[in-house]
Amino acid sequence: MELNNEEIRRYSRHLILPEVGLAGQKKIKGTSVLCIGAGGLGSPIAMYLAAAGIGKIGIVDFDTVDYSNLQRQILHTDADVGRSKAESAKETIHGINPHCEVVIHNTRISSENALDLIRPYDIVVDGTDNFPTRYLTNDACVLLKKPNVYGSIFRFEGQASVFAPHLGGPCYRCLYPEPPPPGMVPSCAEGGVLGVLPGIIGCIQATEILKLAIGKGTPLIGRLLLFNALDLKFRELKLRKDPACPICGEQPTIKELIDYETFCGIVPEPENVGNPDEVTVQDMKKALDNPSLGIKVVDVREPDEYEIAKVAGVPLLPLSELQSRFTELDPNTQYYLHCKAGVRSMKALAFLRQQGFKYVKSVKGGITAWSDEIDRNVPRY
Amino acid sequence: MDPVIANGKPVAVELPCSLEKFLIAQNLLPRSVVVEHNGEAVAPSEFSQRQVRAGDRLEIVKIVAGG
Repeated sequence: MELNNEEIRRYSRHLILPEVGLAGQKKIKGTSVLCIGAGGLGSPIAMYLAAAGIGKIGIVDFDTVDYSNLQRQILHTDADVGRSKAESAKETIHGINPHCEVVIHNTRISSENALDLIRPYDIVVDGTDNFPTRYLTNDACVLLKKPNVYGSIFRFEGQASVFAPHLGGPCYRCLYPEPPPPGMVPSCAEGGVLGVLPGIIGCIQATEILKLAIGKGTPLIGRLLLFNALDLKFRELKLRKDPACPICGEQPTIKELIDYETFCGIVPEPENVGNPDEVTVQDMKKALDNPSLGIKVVDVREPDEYEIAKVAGVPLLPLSELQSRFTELDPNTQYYLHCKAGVRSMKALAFLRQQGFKYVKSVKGGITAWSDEIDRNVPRY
Repeated sequence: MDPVIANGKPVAVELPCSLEKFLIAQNLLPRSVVVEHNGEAVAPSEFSQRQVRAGDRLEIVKIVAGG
């Protein structure tokens, strides 16, 4: 592994650091990193790793760039909306450092392809946005003995750690042996996220990768670093390897990759077979257009969201206030409940059923589906 | 009801109480939180045996998945 004159000039601020030097920079060049997800976390990770001289970066992402990504996913620009994230990422990385080899995997990582995807790389970085992929990434890394540089974010808070049971540390399952039931932990799409937050957490992940590459410093193994942007505070929790861990413990029960959607309680919706508790946005339109049907539509989102986008004529009763205010509704009236995407309206439905409401339905896809299918003037957020 | 200090705030708890019971009483999912007990790491498999005592300090972090 040699550096040419142009590279020596490019990396000069590294080369004069005694902890990096020529030997360290060559190690960085000789390191390959698989970045799972080219979103909020993946953006700063891939960009800084490329700039720092990582020799090969793999990008796994099947998604396309959406306007709502641009507030934080700085790999992608306005002109990239609608393009493949992996393609857009490759272009940005090459713009930063043409010496970096970029391999794009424009596919969804799954139990079938994860081991083959990860095997050729030295380090894996988890920048995914959902539980099934996080458990899959963890398990594949444990089985292949690859360090898994973890980061996750929500609203104003972030977490980071390095999982490496083969180096004596814990894995993701040592912390969280089982995923929460679906819908219990909101995603960034539901709960929001400060745009800068993935920048901070992603840069911590990139720092750990560079340290692992050069073999210097104290890695974030066995520690969970926590960041709160509102308080601007970092704190740290000690972690331990769980001897009872199902994958890296003393008597592992998981010896190969499993079905992670099922493990996380996500039941694939059978095609063309509707959920009897759900109605479509077309049904909701019919109810609003024909008051004689006697169906009332109620928005269960929060007031801030109602201010951003609403459907004319639909009153607000936030899910957070439903417990104290459900008596404002009539248990014998038929209601269609909607939220942003259909998750919270299902929760509201379950609650009202418990209170004896018999005729409640949840609007599938919520106001997002309304915007897509009925009225484009209602903004998507 | 003796207090336990959870994330810096006193929380009343009826003793004796296991860490697992404490978490459930706080509406937390014991398999989806990381806990440090008096500055010491605790593995999830220990939650049901580990007893909390008056004045104990707990740091509790909930799982998040956003990226």
